[in-house]
Amino acid sequence: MARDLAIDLGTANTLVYMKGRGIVLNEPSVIALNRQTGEVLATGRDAWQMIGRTPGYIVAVRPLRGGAITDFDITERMIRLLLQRVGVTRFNRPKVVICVPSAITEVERRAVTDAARRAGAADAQLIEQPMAAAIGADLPIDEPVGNMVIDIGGGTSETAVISLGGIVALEAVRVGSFDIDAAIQNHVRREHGIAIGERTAEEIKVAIGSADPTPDEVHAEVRGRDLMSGLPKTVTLTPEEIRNAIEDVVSSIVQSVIRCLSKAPPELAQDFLVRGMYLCGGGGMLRGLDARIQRETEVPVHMSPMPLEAVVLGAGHCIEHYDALKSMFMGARR
Amino acid sequence: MWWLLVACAALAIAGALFIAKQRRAKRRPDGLQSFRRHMDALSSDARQNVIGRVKDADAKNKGGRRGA
Repeated sequence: MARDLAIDLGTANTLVYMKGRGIVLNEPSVIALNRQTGEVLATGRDAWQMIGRTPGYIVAVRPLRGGAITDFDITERMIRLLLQRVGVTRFNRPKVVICVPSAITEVERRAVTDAARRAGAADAQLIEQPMAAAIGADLPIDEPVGNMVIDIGGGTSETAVISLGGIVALEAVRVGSFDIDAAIQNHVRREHGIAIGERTAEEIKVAIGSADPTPDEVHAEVRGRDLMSGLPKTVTLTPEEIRNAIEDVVSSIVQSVIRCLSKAPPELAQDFLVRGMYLCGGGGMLRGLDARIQRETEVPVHMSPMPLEAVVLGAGHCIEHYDALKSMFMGARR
Repeated sequence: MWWLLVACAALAIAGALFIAKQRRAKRRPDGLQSFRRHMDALSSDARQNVIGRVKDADAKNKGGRRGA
């Protein structure tokens, strides 16, 4: 008998929750292919290690950008391999709940459900990421109070106000932590004249990236290729210059939170001042982001207890209570 | 024999009425009940199972790593 699955198909990472078991897979959403034969060479962590380090005939790609499928065939193959790894076979087809950004189009929705069904799912349902995140962050969304959740992923940032099990206000922007990495890459290229890869940019963000000044700031040495001479070169970066480099991205995330707050009904808005809002997703872990949002909105900001797993936990809860919660799935409400 | 026919007819009518009622109930679920079921499934108590399972696994993994 197939065990039903919940999948957080993120731009950065894919997490799989198996009914009755818990999280059984947590890997980067990357697939490595042989360009000549089209064969899959690696997925997940193995493929992630190949990014920017492959010979000409191998390509390591992320099939999702901004939470949307950019390559349908590759995504389908990645989902098929994921399902195989968690024990799904042709004779053993589970029901699957997939978390997707709330702003995806009808065409993108169909692309995700079709990819899951072709990859071996008996039935595929979609749930909005902020709703799943609120369930996974253990917010009291069954009560008539305003719960606010900010989910910052690799390609999207979504803010939602939830009350009585439904979304009351929502704001989504196709900006996420990959845009922060890209801003760092551009800054280093422009200001220091060296080229760095996306993995190095991510390491810089984790090491010294911040949205607001923090007390424990240190400098970082970065190695890359000099654009003029073509030779390897080392430069030192300061947290302040990285903060300035990523300011546009951080600012657009904060503005989307403010827009969501302004859409919330006044009765719920007063709850936020007492209860605060909850940050989750990998992008939410950027140093000082909670303080920055708090400073600009004057609303307390808390970090979700399990920021990286909140979305898949919420979807996992939906798969555990499938019949009672199926009205929450994206197709069911129209 | 006439009483047997009457009994069979009564049974058939009762059966048909029962089936019709069941179908109607299936077609239009009680809004109040399904809403309560939905809210119960979303309650913090109902969620403890899922969150607890992941927290336990997390703690076990951390323990394993510390031991290694």
